[in-house]
Amino acid sequence: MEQYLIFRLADEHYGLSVNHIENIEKLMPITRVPHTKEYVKGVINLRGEIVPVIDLCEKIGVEKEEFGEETRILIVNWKGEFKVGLIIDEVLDVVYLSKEDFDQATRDRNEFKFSIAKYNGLLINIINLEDVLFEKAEEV
Amino acid sequence: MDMSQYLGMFIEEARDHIQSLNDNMLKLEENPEDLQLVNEIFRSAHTLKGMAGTMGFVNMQKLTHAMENVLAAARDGKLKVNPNIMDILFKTVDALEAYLDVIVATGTEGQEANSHLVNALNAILGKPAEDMAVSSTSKAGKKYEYDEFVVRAIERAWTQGFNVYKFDVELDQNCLLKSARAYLVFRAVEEFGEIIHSKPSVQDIEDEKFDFEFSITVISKQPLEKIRERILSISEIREVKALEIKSGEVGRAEEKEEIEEVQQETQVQETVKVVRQQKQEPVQKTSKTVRVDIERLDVLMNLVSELIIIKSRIEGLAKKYNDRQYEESIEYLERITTSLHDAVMKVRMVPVERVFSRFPRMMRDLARELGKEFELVMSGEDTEVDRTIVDELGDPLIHLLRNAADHGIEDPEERVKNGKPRSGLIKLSAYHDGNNVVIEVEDDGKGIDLEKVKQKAIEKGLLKEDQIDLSDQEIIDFLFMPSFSTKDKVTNLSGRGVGLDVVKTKIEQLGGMVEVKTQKGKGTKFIIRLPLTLAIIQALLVTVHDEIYAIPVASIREIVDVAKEDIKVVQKGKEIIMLRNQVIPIKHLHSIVGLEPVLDKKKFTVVIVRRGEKLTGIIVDRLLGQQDIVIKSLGKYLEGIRLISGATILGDGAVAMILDPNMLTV
Repeated sequence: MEQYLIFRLADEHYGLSVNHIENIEKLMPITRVPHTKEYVKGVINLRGEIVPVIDLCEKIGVEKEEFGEETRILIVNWKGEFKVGLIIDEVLDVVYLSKEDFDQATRDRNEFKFSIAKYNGLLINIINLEDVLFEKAEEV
Repeated sequence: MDMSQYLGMFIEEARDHIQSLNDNMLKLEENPEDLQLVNEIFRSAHTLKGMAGTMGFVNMQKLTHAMENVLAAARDGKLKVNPNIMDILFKTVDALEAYLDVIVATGTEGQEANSHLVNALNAILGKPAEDMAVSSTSKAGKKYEYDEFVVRAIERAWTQGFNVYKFDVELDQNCLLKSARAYLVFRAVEEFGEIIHSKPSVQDIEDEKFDFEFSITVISKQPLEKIRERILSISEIREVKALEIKSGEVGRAEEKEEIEEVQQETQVQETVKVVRQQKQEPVQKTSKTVRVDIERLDVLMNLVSELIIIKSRIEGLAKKYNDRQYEESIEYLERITTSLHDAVMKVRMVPVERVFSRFPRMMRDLARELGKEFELVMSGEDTEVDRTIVDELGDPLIHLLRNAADHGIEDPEERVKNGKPRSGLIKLSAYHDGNNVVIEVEDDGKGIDLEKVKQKAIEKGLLKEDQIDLSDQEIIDFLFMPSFSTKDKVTNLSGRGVGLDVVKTKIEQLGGMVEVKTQKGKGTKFIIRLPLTLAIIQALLVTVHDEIYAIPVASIREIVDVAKEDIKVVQKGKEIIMLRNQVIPIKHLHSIVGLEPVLDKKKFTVVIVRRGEKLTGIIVDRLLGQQDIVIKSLGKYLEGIRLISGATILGDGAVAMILDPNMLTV
């Protein structure tokens, strides 16, 4: 059993293991950083720490929604090496998922591969953080 | 007892001793007659031996012991140092350094016994190789060695009908308060007889300067087993090996006597030193120093940075109220934060000597390896720079010095043929220049062959053959490109260029820059310019559209307003202005950061930035003013954006990008 944060990107459900998540922040001013990839929205001042922020919708190719009241930034910590904020449309729930909840199938979306989990009749795309944070070699 | 808590101290001190061994041996090589130096070296080796022994690093101890014997012989005039001996001694120091590296990495000294070195050292003294075991530590040997005084006491005991016993006592590994335990043993044994010798000395045992073993020699009329049982009855004693010493088994250890003598000698000197320090104390307070973990200083520095950010925030708020008292308090706060910042900076400053000190030794080896003759002259070793910068300077400087020795300095014969002195000169100097520190590596060698560099650039396809009107500087810039080498055969030392791109990247990471000046046949000079500190700088805040950028003040020459008609367009749409008869290329900061420039203005604000002697004008929308900013890294995820050297948090909590001035110039 592992805990997952379930959140919404446009009209789809996504999940990310809570082990990676350090904090959930409300949207705050983002400063653009020149010469970065389109999905890198810039950096935020997270209580004195500079943290890059990426738009998860843009990164994985989900249709973009305007930032609103429910928009949140998930602060994830990559192996203690760096922190990155992921912008998502709405936090829904924190749930336990066990192996049985996972479907055999996976789903491809652009260059990303998601595992599929079923929960309360919903289909949840489980994100592999490594895929999101790092560019694929062929893209370079 | 757990020695690991002393490991850090051991490493620091051992480093110092190894450095001083290297330094003094280099001096000794030039003045082989200087007994003062031999003494210094001996003392370092001796201390190192003691320290290694205390920490239980036996191999290291054995090696230093062998080294110490050679030095003792030299000190006593029984031996003359020659280049051969020096080589072995240098190798020994290298081996000690290797031990230390292993200790740093693993906490143990590793398996390397370096017996070839121990043998080589012993061979200098004419000792056979198998004699390498330190006689005083051998326990199983049939012959017991004591100094003259003890031997006489033992002999007297026999004539009076006493027995002489030796007990090797081993304490339990978990034993705390070893010295107290040892004291109990002493007291118990003294019920039966007299202790005439102990190893280590009683003083050392009382100071806990021993591992878990010590041995005592006792004269007594009681049977051996009885005393042994009495010792074993004391708690936390693991093992007692008891031996009776029979007549004819005792020898006089001459060499040991000598060491004891030295110990006494150094002790005397130490007390002298203490006395002297006490005398000087009221006058010279600076000699009081504390070693501080750099991490603690980093924490302090971070806190000061936070304080500076919140200070600018309060300053911003203060403008809203117009209260006099409020303003005064803020001015006071401003003064305190500035002083605090200065104080913390100073604590972090260390002399570049930290890096420089290893170069004489390196260059000596290099000269031998290359078969060249040159001298290394260093100056400004006491120039201070932030610790974080000093730590990073080593590698680039090694590259440049090797470069100078390998490619710059010619062979002795060639030099003579060209009317130069046979021996070359490499100068390494450091000095302060405003908010910068400048480090120069200069050689009087053959200089860079620009024609050859150009050919190579064409060969590599970096340059078209018809591009001939390149300035010397532009040609030199090729050298800093990755994997660009002018040497036909790349040696294992360096190929010019192979290291230079690394040098450049490293220096630029540190917020500095590298310049090269070269003259054919006369020599080459690399000039490294670095900021004094990395953490907090003065910056000019400017805006383009609604974005705020910070430009380090240190790289700004001046700010001018330029009328639209004074901006001229020259070849291929390049814009320039004339400033006091100097042509200065200009750029729009808007375009640099990927925004649309505003072109329909009558007047433009131009910030003139410099990089070395090159000037570039940067057009901005508006100036916000100058302030102290704290440089924060963008983090690993965004690393490699060349234009931005970091970010800073402004008074209102907003983030502004800091522009890397090196990337702004054309």
